[in-house]
Amino acid sequence: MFIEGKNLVKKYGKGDATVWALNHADFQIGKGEIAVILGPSGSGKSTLLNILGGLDTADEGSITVDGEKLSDMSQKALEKYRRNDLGFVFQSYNLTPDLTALENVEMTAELTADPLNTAELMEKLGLGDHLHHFPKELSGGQQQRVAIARAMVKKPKLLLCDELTGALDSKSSKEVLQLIEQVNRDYGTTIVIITHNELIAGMADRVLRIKDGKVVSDTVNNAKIKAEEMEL
Amino acid sequence: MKTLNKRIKRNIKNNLSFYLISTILTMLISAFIVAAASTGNTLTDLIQDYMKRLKVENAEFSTYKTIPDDEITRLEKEYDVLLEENSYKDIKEGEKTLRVFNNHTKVNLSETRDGIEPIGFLEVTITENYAKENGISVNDVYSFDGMEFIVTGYTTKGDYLFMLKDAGDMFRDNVNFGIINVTAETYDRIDAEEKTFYAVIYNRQDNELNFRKKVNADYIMKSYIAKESNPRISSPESEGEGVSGMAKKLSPILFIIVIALVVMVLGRMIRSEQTLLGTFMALGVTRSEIIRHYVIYGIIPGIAGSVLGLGLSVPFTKAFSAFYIENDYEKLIYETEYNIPACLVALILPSLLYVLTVLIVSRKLLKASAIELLNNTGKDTKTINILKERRIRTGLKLKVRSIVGHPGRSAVTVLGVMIASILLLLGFVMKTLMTDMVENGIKETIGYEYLYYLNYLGDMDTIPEGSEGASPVLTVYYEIPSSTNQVNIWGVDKSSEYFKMKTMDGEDVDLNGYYITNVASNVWKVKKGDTLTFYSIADLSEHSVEISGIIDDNMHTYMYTSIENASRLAGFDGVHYNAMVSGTSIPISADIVASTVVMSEHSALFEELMGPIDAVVYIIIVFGALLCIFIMYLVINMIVGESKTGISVMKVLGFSKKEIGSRVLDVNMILVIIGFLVGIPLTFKVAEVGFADTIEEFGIYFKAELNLRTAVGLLIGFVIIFIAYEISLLLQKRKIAKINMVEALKENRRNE
Repeated sequence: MFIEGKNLVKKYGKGDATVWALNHADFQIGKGEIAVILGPSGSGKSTLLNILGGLDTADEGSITVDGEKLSDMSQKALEKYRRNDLGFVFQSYNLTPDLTALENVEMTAELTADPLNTAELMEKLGLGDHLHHFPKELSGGQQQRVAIARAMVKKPKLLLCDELTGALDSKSSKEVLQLIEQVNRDYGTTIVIITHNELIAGMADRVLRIKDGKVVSDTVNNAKIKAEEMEL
Repeated sequence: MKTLNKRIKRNIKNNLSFYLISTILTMLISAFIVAAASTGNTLTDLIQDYMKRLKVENAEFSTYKTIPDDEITRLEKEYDVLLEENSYKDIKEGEKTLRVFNNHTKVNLSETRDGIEPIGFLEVTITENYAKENGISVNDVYSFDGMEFIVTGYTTKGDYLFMLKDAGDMFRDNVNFGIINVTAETYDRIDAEEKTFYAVIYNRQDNELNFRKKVNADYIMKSYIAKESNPRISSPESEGEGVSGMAKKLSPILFIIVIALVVMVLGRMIRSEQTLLGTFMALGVTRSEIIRHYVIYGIIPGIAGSVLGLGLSVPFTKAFSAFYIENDYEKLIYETEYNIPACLVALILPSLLYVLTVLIVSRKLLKASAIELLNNTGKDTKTINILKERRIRTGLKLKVRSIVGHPGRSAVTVLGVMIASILLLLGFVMKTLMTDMVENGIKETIGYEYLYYLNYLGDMDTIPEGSEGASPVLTVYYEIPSSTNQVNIWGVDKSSEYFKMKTMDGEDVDLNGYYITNVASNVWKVKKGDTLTFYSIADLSEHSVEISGIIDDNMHTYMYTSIENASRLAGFDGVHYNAMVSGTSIPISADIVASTVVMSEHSALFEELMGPIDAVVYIIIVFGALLCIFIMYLVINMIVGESKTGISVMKVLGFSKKEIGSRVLDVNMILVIIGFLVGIPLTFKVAEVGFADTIEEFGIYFKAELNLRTAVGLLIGFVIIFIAYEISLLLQKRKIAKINMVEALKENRRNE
């Protein structure tokens, strides 16, 4: 499998106050899949995302991405992993306010030796008319498109999306999810979406449900629907 | 509110750098302002009290005819003055001179310390600095000029607090010049020429002119030196005023700019909490409760800094006072006094300004609705379109826009660096000005090495034997109305090779005219073409001449003219001289020489005199460098604090530490350079203010200008600023490393 988490444990606090953010969690995600991780607040999905993104480490267990064991990596190696293999999309976009849409994407493109053509990518993602707009001149949906372009320009193996539609209206959410599908289709990128919105699960190849730090279900979605058909 | 205020402790922990640095800055600057003002007070009161207690003269004069004792009593009554004939004998051994006094009773008294007054033959009290320099203690027998003196104690003489051998000297020499007080018997039996003069204290200042006219009319005034023109008295009197003046002028400037910087950073810190302010409002906390909560943020560094500063001002004041009193003068017993208004300012003003800042910023923020605050729309960010479609690296675009797009933050950074630069460069500029003065000041216009003051008035037709190659000059002092500096008019032989001078305009000096030095021009505010009026010291006759040009000499209040013009001004029949100058030592008879000045030794003495000032300058440099590091750290800390989310996002996106540093922090280098450059002219201005008193008090003009030497000082200053910046960055890079990447995600989750 492309991603394999085994027996992952992450604890906060000590003694009686110990919180098990991840409690022996196991999961797998295949290459090129769109995986949706669902769970209520405090279920451990954010912790899982942090570990998957190399932002945090597990106390126990192991996690492997494309054969590379993250749990054995040094901070330097993790930095390289985030730089070369990973794309990240945030709920609140986190674009650099002093740079235009194009420049935000270019800034990340400059990190890698062989990035996608920035202008072409943005055109493809429907941002052709907004290349020289600053973030504050764009709508939430447009900003999230820029954020996806920024993540994709370095051709990541894995795209992590943290509540990517959380700040958007339903129309914009749908457009952004369609974009995710497009990216998955065009570039074969493995995509992990963390959300508490059950409806998004419809577009996933795989749905992981987390509760109290455990993966309570891991199902392959045989009834996958397109994002444009979803009722958000 | 109680619960709300619990976060103050946590806020201090989270913003420890800000609280620590702003407290240290407040502490240092409060201590400095109190210590400077208190040292001025201590010096002024000590010297005034001392002068009054030892009945120090208002003036001393000599006459061609002796004033009889009964006439002295009559003059005292008629003009309400204290008048006493003072006398002394100089005994010499090698280069050393001991001035022997038999205690005066009315004017210029002495006091004895650490022993008793002399009562027996050859018993003496001696000035302590000379004694220390020559290894003499109380009860020692001191052999000098063939006599065996028994030291019974130390003495300080009222009019010799600043130990100059001649009133015309600029420098004291504790190794070679001292004073002893002896009994009348010893005094009479010392075989040396006795010099006498009259010392006067005017109980009513308006009697001075009439008294002088009367003395001149009846006894013909030979010389007259008001205490303001006598550096033995004026130097200590003006030093206290000088320190007070510096405390009044310089320290408020430093105080205000440092406090202003803390105020600005504090304001930005409050502004950065606007989302939280919105949350409090949304939760129903009233505006006044929110303001009261944030006021504590300002009070903490204000009160902590002020109280610590007041504590620190005690050793500072003691050190400053000791430094001035013990270095410059004969030993004085004193207690440090504290300037209460300065203490109150240091105690109240920082807290008041910090609280006012919090009030203004929070009140302004709270005018917005809770929604606006929650959306964080009031950020100090403008969309800047520059370089928008230029094909250059985004890193550079980001840097440029980060500066232009955050005008408030950039302004605080530039201002902070500017303040740090002023504090640091001030010491360097002062140091280079002084070094320049030591090395070039004396020799700038003077082409001779030896100056022989003669003890007679010579006629130009009869040049003394052995003075071949030397030039005769006539030097006469004149009073300038309402100035403590006298002008020394040098009548120069037109054919002399030692006075081939040029004016500051580059013109050759024509000795038929009247040329004043640059310092004289600054003291009396006269320029080329202006008329300078001065009075003869003896008969108070008035003279006016038109200034023909200015000569570049910042050390002497001289006027140069021909020896013929000088003789005419002095009222002589014919052309006369009273001194000789030469490039090398001349075999002139010692009997006709009153004193000799060797210019290179003069420079060395000046350098020695500059020693204590040098130490002050080094203190300023160290103090400035410390403040500089703290200010730089405060500014960089502010930038990192405000860029936390951006840094955290960059980390998540895979930017390396170096790349993050380059994009977020290195951008400030240009602001550092701008701040430094802006600081340079301001430093010169502040240095001028700091040295302003030296013109009137010492007749020395420190010209604050950019030259090779000051440029080197500025370069060293920049290197220190750069190092301070790099150290701050290094410390902040550790802080950047600690910024959690989850911060970026937290922003998301906060909005969930």
